[in-house]
Amino acid sequence: MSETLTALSSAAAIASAVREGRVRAVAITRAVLDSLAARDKLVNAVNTVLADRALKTAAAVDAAVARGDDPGPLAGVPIGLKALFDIAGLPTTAGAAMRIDAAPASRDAALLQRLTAAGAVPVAVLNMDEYAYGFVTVNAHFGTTRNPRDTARLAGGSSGGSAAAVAAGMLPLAWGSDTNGSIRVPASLCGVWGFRPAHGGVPEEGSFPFVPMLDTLGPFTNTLEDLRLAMEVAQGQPIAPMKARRVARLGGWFVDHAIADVDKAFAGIEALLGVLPMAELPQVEAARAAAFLITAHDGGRLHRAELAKRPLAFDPETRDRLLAGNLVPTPLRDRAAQFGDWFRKQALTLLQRYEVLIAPATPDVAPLIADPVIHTGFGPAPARANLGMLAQPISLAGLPVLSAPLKRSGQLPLGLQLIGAPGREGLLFDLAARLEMAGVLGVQAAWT
Amino acid sequence: MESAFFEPCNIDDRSSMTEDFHPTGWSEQHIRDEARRQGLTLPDACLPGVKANLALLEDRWATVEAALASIGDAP
Repeated sequence: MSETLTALSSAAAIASAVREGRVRAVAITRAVLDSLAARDKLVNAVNTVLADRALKTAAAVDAAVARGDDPGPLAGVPIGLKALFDIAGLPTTAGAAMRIDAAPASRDAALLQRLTAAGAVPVAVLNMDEYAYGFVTVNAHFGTTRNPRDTARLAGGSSGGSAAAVAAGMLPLAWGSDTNGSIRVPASLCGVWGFRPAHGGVPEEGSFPFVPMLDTLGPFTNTLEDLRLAMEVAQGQPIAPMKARRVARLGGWFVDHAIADVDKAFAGIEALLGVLPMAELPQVEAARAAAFLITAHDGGRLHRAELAKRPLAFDPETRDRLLAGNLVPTPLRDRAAQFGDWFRKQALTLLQRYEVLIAPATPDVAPLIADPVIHTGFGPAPARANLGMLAQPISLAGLPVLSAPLKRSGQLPLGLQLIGAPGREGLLFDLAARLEMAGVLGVQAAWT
Repeated sequence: MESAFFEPCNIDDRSSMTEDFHPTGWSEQHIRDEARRQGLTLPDACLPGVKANLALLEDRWATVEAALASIGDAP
């Protein structure tokens, strides 16, 4: 990586330097393009490099600075986008080989428009599970994304390319989607910050859907400061400062299914906050099951026409799940959705008592690609079906979640979910900042 | 039950099933018939994977059904 970028590895630092005229956005972009070419050989996070567009966009940012205009809070910041965002002039593949020849998007996704209006420079389209249906980023056409912390291991998914690109130091900011945990799972396994907004908190127009009632869009970063900056731009408003006072650990399902290492993390948290009460969400297993059913039904119906026309063009793992989902009767799906309403009310009631709930984001660290098994409190389990078991119930409740990397020197990454009520995201950032300052949370030294 | 956050699905559904969902008891022909009702033809290569996923879905539905019963079917 060039000296320029080494010194400006965070989005906030890049934007500040570009706005003040200390560094040219074009220089940053060139350095990032060089870095992508070199580093992605080992990681396979990138589907497409947007070199021409990136250099033109960066030149426009530099021209704005030269005129004395402010290019915005993300001035010159190179960003990557999961392959489900519309990018004008390119087909939106959503990780599907069958969409490589789809008609190009006529305009950028609404979120991308917001980011570029703030000065961001899109440089890469990033790998994902086909149609976002998976927690592993093992893609039959685009390949497996490897975990930069240990390239023999999975990066997690479905936004695995986004998490891995940030963890590898290729990009300071990347964007993904989270339906059932697709930001929180790869953020946990790759050891970076991530944010799943409340449903509807970030504009979704122009992103390829999966399960519209659960879909959200959010960022991955290497610093908490960048995470806040990214979310403020994405939401179009500042995150109100708040002080989190009533914090609890989620018990039951969230304790039983996590490896014992998580308890060590909570010891660090309790050293700062005092002993945490253990809060119980009722019927968590059913919440996971309901989200699973709704996903299979709605995702299956979304792709029914293509499944009817050319089933063998799908990634086999995705295809069989989508086909099975089409056989789930709609009355069952509606009953699962009704349960979802009940569960959301329980979660919001609990969040009146406690302001922030903490739970592990994944049951275990990143599994080996060659042996994709994780260890939950109940023994070994297939990674593909179970990596999202702690994230999925929170998706059903529709709550905002800050995904935070535990500081685990010399160990594989593992993340926590800081969960709050919609509209009170400031509490999550306040608690994360205090835990980062205490050395409990934070990104390990950059991958080399 | 009324639905506040989640909307009922208005997708055209042609399933012969209602809430009686026990696909582990279905024959391969029954699976193919259910697929055909949805306008789908199952290639042979898909059947093992579809059956495995249906078993998982049956298990998940049983969990939801039990939860609905235990909360008194109330939203």
